[in-house]
Amino acid sequence: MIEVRIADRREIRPGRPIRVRVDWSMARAPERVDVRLLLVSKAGEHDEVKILAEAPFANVERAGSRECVLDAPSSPWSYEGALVTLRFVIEAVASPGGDAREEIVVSPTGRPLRGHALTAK
Amino acid sequence: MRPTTRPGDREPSFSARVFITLFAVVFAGAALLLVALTWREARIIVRERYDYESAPATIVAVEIVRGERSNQPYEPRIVCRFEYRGRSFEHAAQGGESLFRVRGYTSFEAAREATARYPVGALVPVYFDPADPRRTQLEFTSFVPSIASAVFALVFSGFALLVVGVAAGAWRGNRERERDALPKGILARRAPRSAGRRITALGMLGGAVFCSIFVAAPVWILRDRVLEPRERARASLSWTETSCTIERVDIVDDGDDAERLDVLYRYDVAGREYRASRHDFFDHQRECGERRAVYRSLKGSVGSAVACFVDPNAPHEAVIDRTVPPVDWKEGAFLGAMAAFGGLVALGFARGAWKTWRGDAASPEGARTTSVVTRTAGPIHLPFDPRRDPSGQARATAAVVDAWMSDVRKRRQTRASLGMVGVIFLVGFTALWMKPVLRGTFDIASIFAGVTGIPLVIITIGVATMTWRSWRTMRLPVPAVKLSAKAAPGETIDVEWSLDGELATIASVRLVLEGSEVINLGSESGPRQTAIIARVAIADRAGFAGRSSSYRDRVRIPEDAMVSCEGDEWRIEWNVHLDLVMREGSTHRESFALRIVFGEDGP
Repeated sequence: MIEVRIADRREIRPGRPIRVRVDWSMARAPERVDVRLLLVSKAGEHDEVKILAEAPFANVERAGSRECVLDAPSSPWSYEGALVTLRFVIEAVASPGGDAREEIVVSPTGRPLRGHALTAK
Repeated sequence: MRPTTRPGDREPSFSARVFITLFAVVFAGAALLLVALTWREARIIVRERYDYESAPATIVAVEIVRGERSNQPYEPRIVCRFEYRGRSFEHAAQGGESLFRVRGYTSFEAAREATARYPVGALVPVYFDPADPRRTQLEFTSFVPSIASAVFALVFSGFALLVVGVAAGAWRGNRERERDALPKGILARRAPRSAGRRITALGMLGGAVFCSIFVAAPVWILRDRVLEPRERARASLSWTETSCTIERVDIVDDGDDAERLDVLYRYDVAGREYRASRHDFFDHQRECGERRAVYRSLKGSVGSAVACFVDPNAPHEAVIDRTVPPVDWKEGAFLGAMAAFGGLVALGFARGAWKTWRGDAASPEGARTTSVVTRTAGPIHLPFDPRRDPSGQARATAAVVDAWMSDVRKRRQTRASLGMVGVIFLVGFTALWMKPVLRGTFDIASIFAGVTGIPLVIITIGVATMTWRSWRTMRLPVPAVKLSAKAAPGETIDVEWSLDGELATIASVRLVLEGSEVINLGSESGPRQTAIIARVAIADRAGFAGRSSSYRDRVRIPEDAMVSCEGDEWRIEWNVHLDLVMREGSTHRESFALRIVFGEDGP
């Protein structure tokens, strides 16, 4: 079992630190545990995932808990548009073992920005 | 994340780059092979002239055989025997082989005439390689075809260089974006052009070399087919009139659907008999019907005496008809237009090569979306007044704006001029191509010309339409916009803009700030789609007059504006569009990129 939690709010202002706590308990000690900040974009039929920040933990026990701080990007922001959707996900991966994800919102307003198509072509 | 780019701009995909590279590799390989072959040929020619030895040879046999070339089927075959260092060598060669360098002839008579100087039993000099006397020549290889090969190799290498330059530019991609930046403090952000359209300086140079053939070829044809025959005809007006006896008149197929008048006549000068085959200086310009008429008029004179004109200084030069026909303006204009077109394109490449080499690759496409921006505080007015800007930073900005305006104007003029030359060229070429159709005869040739000419007509109409549009935009006033390099949501920014040109042609100008989503940026992702997600009117002005004018408006970036950002397949961009609504009804848009960024004091 692996679990990822955001220490404060899930709504993060751009450029601010994100305090992440990851807990795991495995049958066997994983070789490493990685915590990543992902930008998941969907543009039409095309999905794209980019790692924006990463915190690796090596030499970990079978069970444990770690905290790390990842910086939220100053741009882009969480966005739900007419053609493009941008989401931010904190991911914790124990190798070998399992993974867990938690979605956050990176936005100056605390909500994903919305873009409605005025015209489309 | 990469910076925003102008609408519609994108880089070639990986597969496109690979394809361009393969194309370049093939062309570069072919060019290298061609250069190697030309080099080899040149070495052989030089060796023949400097290393070969000569010896007297006896012509053993001469015959004309039918070769495999359909357009020049008659090949002379000459057998000769010579001795070198006590050993006897006998060689026979045919057509373009080593013994007799002349290739085939279109008629049997022409081939026989060419071999007339090698009668059987005659003793003639033969040239051979002393290291290997089997390499033998009766004649040295002419320089002319080798020069032609060298020119062709040069032109082909130029094209290959151009293709390699395009490929190199495609791989170089955005790495040179930073080099486009202007001096510190003044950020003139030129939205990057498509990497596929970037060509290295060497590639541009190759393009100039390649295009120079489009200048050289028409000039050479003009000289060879129009100017020189006229000059020779004029010179023949002082030649001496003599009586000639026509021995033969015929029309022979010269290959490639071309005919020529084949005349042979004899005449005496100072007790010596000469033979000549020139009827006039302009047979190549004759229509088929005209040539037939000349043939018919001469046919009745075979065996009888007619007046001909002989050069007193060179009695072997003679002509029957020395009339100088009226100037063929069609051919001259067509060739002139072709040369001008090639020259302009070659010049464009050369200029591009020079600018790229100097690191100043401000192409018209790049200039189109140049967004002149400044980070300095306070407004900068156009036209520039140095008293208001002691720091000199605005001076640089004003210079950039001027350069941009000049670039836009030049681009419009170049496009319109090139288009006009292209239209003239295409109309001429299409007319020549469709000649069988215009003749009005219904045969295979006219049907073929008609069917294959349709795409040419369509292309000509297309180019003419584009040229007409370019011609109209050429006189349009040039707009320039200055705005902050970056702006945050909720921030109010100044938009300074100016117009330069005949402002009375403008009915109104609209300035709009627009945010858009663009997806499918990769070439394999399907058609590109754009959705406009925000539109803020900045200004709508009318009542323009004079030659130049500048304005300042303000716009507030929406509080909920999404920042400018970009992924592999998508982009969110902001642009200030300046729409010129012309009095005659058309609208022309110039777009200027604006980068919306996260501001610490933002929403």
